[in-house]
Amino acid sequence: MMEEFSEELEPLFDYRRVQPLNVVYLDDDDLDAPSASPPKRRKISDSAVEKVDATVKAVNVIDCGDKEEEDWLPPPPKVSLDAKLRGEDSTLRELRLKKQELASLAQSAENVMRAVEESVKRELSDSLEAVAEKPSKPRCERNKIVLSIQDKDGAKQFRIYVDDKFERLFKMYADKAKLDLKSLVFCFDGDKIGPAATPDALGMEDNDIIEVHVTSS
Amino acid sequence: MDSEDDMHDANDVESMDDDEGFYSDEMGMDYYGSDDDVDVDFGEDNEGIKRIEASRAENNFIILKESDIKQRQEEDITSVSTVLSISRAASSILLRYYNWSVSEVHEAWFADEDKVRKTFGLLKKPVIQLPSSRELTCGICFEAFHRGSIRSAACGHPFCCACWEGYIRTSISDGPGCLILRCPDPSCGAAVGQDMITMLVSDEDNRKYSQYLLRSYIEDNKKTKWCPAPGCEYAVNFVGDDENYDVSCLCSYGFCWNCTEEAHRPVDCSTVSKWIMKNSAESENMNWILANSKPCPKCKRPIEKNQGCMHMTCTPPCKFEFCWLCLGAWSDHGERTGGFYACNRYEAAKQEGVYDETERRREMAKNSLERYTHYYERWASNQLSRQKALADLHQMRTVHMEKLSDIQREPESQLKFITDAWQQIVECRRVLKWTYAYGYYLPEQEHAKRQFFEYLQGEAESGLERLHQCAEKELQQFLSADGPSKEFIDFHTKLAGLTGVTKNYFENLVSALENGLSDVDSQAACSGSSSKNGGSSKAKGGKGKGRAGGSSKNIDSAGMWTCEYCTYANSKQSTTCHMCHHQRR
Amino acid sequence: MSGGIARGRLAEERKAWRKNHPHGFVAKPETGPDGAIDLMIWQCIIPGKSSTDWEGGYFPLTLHFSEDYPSKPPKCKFPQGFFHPNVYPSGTVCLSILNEDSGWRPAITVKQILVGIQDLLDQPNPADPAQTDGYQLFIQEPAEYKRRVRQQAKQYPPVL
Repeated sequence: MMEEFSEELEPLFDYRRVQPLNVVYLDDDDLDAPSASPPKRRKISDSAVEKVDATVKAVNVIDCGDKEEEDWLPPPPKVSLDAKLRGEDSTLRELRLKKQELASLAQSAENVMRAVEESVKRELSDSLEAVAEKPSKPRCERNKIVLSIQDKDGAKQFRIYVDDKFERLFKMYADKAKLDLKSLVFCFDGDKIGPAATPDALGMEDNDIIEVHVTSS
Repeated sequence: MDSEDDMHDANDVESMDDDEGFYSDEMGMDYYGSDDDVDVDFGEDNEGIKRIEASRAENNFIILKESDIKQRQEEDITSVSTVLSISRAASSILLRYYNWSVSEVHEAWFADEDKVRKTFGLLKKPVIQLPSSRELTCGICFEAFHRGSIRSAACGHPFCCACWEGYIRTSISDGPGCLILRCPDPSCGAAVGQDMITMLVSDEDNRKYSQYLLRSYIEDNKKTKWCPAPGCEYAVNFVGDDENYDVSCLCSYGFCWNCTEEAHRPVDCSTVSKWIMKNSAESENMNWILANSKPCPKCKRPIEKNQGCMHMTCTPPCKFEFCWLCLGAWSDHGERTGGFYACNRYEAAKQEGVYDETERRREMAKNSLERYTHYYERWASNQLSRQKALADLHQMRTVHMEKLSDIQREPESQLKFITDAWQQIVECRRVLKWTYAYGYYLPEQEHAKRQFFEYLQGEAESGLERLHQCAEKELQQFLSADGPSKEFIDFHTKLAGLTGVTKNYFENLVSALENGLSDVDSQAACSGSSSKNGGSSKAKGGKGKGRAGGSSKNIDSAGMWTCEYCTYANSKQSTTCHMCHHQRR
Repeated sequence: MSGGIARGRLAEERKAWRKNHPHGFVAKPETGPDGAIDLMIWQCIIPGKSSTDWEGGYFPLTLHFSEDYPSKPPKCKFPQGFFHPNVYPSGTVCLSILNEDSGWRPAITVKQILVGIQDLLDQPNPADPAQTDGYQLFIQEPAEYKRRVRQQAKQYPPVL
């Protein structure tokens, strides 16, 4: 219950500065699953409490690992949405084929066709839901957490272990952003985050924001 | 009897002035003297007088009880609601904004409905689309609620019932500003009307809201005011002209419609206000208020300055924004008036000396304290005396009348002349009191006027003393008597006569002072002035019910008729008054 | 009845803030020396807007919430003597949306307050002056005003 409405309230806070969300998965192992964005985030965009409507941008889930970070991130994480879309496309294509077949076989049997079509559609939506549910189930002992790193222009989401040192995340961010790690300062709630700190030690929660500042020096 | 001596004196002086006696009480003399001829029935004259009073009241003002106010308000709301085809709550909001003037609401609405709707937040349809989800988030506590527990004004912004209640309750406890409540959403101007309030808050808060609404009907309406008497819950709807502001409430309090101070004829409102201000200015308290608070230039409530800013905003619902220094509208201010800490308007005006404050100080310096003290002491002692008389009147009604009725074996209705006398005393003390404020502000250089004024005032004072003495002292012997006494009839005649004479004298005094003692200017013949004064004395009747039946004005059982001007009882054959030569009416 | 609404609402505000807030802003409840969190006092930082004279400054602001929140607005205070035409000498911000008699509505969020104050920094309201110093310079000596603003921004560098 609590979980649910905390999400629904999210759009209320989507003031005009809200930036598109980019999710990067920093998973070492959990890559077998065609990981989708966590169901929670999906639900937010679904739930239409979009009071501050126009300013809220669609949630873009970009997996940078797919493009250039493959060498650094051992197994390339798959793009959740792309995968989904691809899956959807192929299923649809199949559906259409089936439909054509049916039509050619029994063109007059429209009722039959409609029934089949509907049942397939139902199957399709069921399978999509299953895909979405999958990654939410914890598989391992070490808990992971999704954090946003936000700069002036927007935020990217990362998933890391709660007991992982930030060092690694910071380095990856710097590489990705093509910035010198030394010129970056990461802050949480106004306090600088040391490279040895861990999300756990700082009491971080899912979806907390880490701010990154680029020092001019 | 020393009172008779006084009257002889008065008569002499007036004769010397060659005054036909308009200000004089010489007719009183004759009235006394003609005791034997006059068989006035003092008991029967009340009805006629009441009728006169009532018709005057109808002309000038109507006293409204709470039920009357509610009824009128309901009728106005119904009227607007019917004509504009909008809800009663919306009608009520509009009426409130247009000071409860049905015609103004109609006018504005039909001139530009959209503008009126926009200005006062009466939306036709929601401004936001709620999601179709089962649960909605309250915009105040940010918790999720089932749709059924969410309420919205016409705009559609969702809030839970508990938050609505808190929002409305806070607003109600902050004062009448709750009558112009808007949606809690910061960007939304949708009005929150009584329909929502009834639905969302406790009975107690609803009661308070209704009370504010009722008060608004009286306070925001230019033609109605609350009776200022402490504890009195009646309101007055003034329908008269600008000439006579005296209003008498059902609670028996008489006050001035214009300034809501106690009735203060013959002095005008500004003199009263100056005088009251002057009295209190003598106290340190007043000095503090002068330095630290000012009346809101719009709604006149005192505003205390508690922050450094010269930009003042009056509390809701007034919300008038003004400059503390010059009391001008803040909208007239800006860089060109020297900005904020130096208001040019104030500085310039100060140099021209138009500000009351400086004027007041100068004036105080000019007038010696002794002079003021002289007038103040007499003003205050008459005030005290009046209060004592009020208490005595009360005592008379509640205790002595019954006792006296037993002793003298007369029905109480036959003793009404005593309370009439006391009512007259109370009224005269009031008038006399204010003549001292009048005297204080009468310019020193107007020697003739001052002299004449002081003479009139002296006469009034001694006439009133005579009456007061008779009502207070001479009555005692009859109260302590064992049984009926023959002298009581004489006492009856004397007191009733004195009451009539004094009443007449004071009425004329009031007229004369209200005319600014113009007789002195014109040096005109008294016959001319008497008709003029006579005319204005007629208008005074509405002043107070307290005087109803104060004298025997109309035709008594013996067929005598009483002059409307001088109260002389004439024989029924005569068509003009034997005393003042006025036509019989 | 809803006596506890202030804390509940503030907990939700805080929750939402952690997940989403404009860049450079800080808003967190005060933590006492014993580690206890006081939801009724928030320590905040408002960054000066870029490309304004306020840029580079990270201005500390304290929000004092009352039990009547959100019926009544919080009191927002910069450090004493903060230079701005609409800030009282005590540091209290004079802003219409924070005035319980006029602009305040209970649905205004902490984020809207902070962003509103950030806007106010570079856009003072000359109709509502609260201090002599800032107001007079703003009106009469724009150059000196600018200098003072820039100087102040330097006095509040990022706490990194």
